[in-house]
Amino acid sequence: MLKTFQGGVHPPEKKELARDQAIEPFPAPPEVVLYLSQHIGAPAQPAVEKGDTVKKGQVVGEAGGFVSAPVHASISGTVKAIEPRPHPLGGDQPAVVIESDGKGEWAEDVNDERDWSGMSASDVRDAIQAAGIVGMGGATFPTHVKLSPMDGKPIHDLVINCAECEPYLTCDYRQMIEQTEEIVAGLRILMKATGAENGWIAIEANKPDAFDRFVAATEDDPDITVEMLEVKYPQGAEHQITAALLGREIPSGGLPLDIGVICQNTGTTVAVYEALRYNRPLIERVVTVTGEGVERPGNLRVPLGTPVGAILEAAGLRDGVNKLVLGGPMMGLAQYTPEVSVTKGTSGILALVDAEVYDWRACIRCGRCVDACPWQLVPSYLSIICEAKNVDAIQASDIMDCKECGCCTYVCPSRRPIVHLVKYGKGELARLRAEEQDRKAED
Amino acid sequence: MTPPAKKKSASEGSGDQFVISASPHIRHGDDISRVMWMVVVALLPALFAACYFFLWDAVRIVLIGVLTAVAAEAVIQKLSKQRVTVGDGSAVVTGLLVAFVMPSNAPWFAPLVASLFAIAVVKQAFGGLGCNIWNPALAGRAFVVACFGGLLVGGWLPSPAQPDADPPVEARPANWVAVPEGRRFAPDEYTRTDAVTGASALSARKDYLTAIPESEEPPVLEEQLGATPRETLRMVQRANNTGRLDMLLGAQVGSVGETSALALLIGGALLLATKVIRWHIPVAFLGSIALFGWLLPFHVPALEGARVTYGWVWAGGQPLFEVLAGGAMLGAIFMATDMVTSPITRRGRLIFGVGCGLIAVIIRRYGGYPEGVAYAILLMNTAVPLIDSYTKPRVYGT
Repeated sequence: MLKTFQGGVHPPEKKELARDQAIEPFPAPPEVVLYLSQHIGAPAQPAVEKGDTVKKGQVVGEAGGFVSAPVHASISGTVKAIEPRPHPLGGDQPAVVIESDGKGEWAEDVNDERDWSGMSASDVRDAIQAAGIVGMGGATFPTHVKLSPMDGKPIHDLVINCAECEPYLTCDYRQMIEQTEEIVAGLRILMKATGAENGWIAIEANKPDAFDRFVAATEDDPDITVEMLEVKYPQGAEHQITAALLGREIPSGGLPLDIGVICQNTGTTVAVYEALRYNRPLIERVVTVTGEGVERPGNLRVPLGTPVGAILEAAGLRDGVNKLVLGGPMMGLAQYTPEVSVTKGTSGILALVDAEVYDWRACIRCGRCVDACPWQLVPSYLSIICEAKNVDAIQASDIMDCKECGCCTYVCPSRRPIVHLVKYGKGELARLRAEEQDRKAED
Repeated sequence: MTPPAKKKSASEGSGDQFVISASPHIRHGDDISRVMWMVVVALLPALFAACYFFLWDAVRIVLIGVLTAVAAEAVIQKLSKQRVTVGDGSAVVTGLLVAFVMPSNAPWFAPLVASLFAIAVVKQAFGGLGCNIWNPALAGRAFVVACFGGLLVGGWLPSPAQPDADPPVEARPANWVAVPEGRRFAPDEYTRTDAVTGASALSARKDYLTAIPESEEPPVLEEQLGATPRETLRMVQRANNTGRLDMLLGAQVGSVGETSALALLIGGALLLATKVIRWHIPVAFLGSIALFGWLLPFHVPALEGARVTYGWVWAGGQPLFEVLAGGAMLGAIFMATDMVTSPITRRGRLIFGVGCGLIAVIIRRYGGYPEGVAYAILLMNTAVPLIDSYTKPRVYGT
């Protein structure tokens, strides 16, 4: 029996569309749009002005605080504007727009090979912070914050999350195959930065070749264990991977840190390695462009800020595409325009054909959502109280434990948009709390 | 692909070509229609069995039940200006189940009234699919029993022609069924017949357990006179001790769709395989019927002259009989598993199933009706919100 967690679903994987396409560099576009907010936390502050000349790797946005990350130029050229642009999370957000000079010149103080072995843990964290690295699986939590010791809680286990449980996506898989050594080296860096004794590489069983490579690459390292997990969504969610791999649950409302664990995404680990080894900030990432609506699915190394539309144009769009998703199909965000640009969290560009708009009905209490919920919530109930706008019930519920993984909505035969309703309910809660605070402030 | 610099322009242009919705962006293939029509398919073996045993009676009752249910749903939805959803198959399921719990000699208006009540009052008046508290088909049946109970008691009408002995196997008509031997009211008329007749095994047993000696008319069980409770119980068990294989195949007296345990089990296996239902309710229900059927003592009358005394006798019950008799199989596989009216958590479903089985055995053994499955399920339906609130799973990390 492979290790796994309770609940979850197994949608068609659809990884075959792109899994055998080796990572290809995507040519630098004539213009990049670098949002100052590409991470959770305070937005970065612009460090350049309109008309400035910038080089690749140069800081264009300074971190806006500790829980924040700097933004670097991904091409060389001129700052054309600093203005709001359509953001993948919705609405327009401030961005540094750079027009390419076509040279692709690196800034002076970056992109040098260096020996990190002598660096202390805090130096490593500083280097990661300076490189602007955030969680690249989509959550975009600043990595240096995740690695910083909290309340003296010791870290025992460092998990490289190679589950890639979202259907369609293969960017992590390609990196596992093509950059096995880098990932292992990145793991060693992360273990050093945190003092974790045990390193783990957790892979879903649908990637046996990656498993074999990691086993071979870690043969001489007794501290690193490569583990195969059942193919099930959301195996790659932090809560589920710790439960599956280590048999430990993260306390409600807590972090993996609370049980001495840190999980890192595959792409993040590569970025950490490159930041330490080559002093290279995070200015590009691997993106899977895929979906039934894409003529040539593939895995591309894309400069951050590249317009999604340009990538889709290069990959070729088929007729009938009516949904554009950034990320995977289970948790990705639907976009209303291809004018948004690639961010640090863009793992996939998904063009779906004939996506349905569902006519949803009352809950028939079949209980499939309860069986599927990896958090053992009762999603049916949450959806009903949110639909009824029953604020008291929402407040008394465990709605905040829902991480919106989408398993419930995926299985619902009434086609209820449970995640949508839960998002609404959380919004109502936030609004209430804000009102309450305002009232207290007035008193 | 030059992004426009103006703020507004993003919502123009390609704005309307993409569907916007919250994640997830893919869905499992099962929707309400597929689930409901799968239940219909799973009911087909029992429907074939019904047609085999009851011929045109079954066809008549099923047609009336289904057509009434579908028509009632369509008309009500039309009148109340809702979307008409009869295509989703849920009204068909209700109609089929109503027909399945009617005796084959039920008058034509019994399935009609039951279906009408099920759809109009139990289902639509409470808000339609997903909002009803009670299983519509069973509530429909309960309503009809309450209104026209006298017309629904018993099974088939006896045939005037009474052969002395069983006809040879090859000469038996397709619907030949032996009346349970335990039936002793009028041995000459009832023991063998070519038209299926009589009362179910459960009501035969009930007659023993509720015999009143001083009444002129039956039920008077002569053989019970002077017998001790234990002896009476032995008679009960003899009465129940025949034809387990017949009961499994469906050659027993009962309602249209409930007689063939095998056909119902085949349907149940299909529902389990397609994950339309989970195992918890049927297993807990049947297990509980078997367990309590074995465990609970009988309350047996002893007739000493004109005086009736009752005695508690524990005789080890007959678990297999309890499971195969009456509506247990139909109830456990198709009625109690009605998702709308059963608990939503796995633990809740186990409790629900055990409760159904326990109440069914209590009614069968001590209640006024020979069969208690329908009322057991209806009562447990009522308890579902309570069960749900006490069986919330432990949330991850709490």
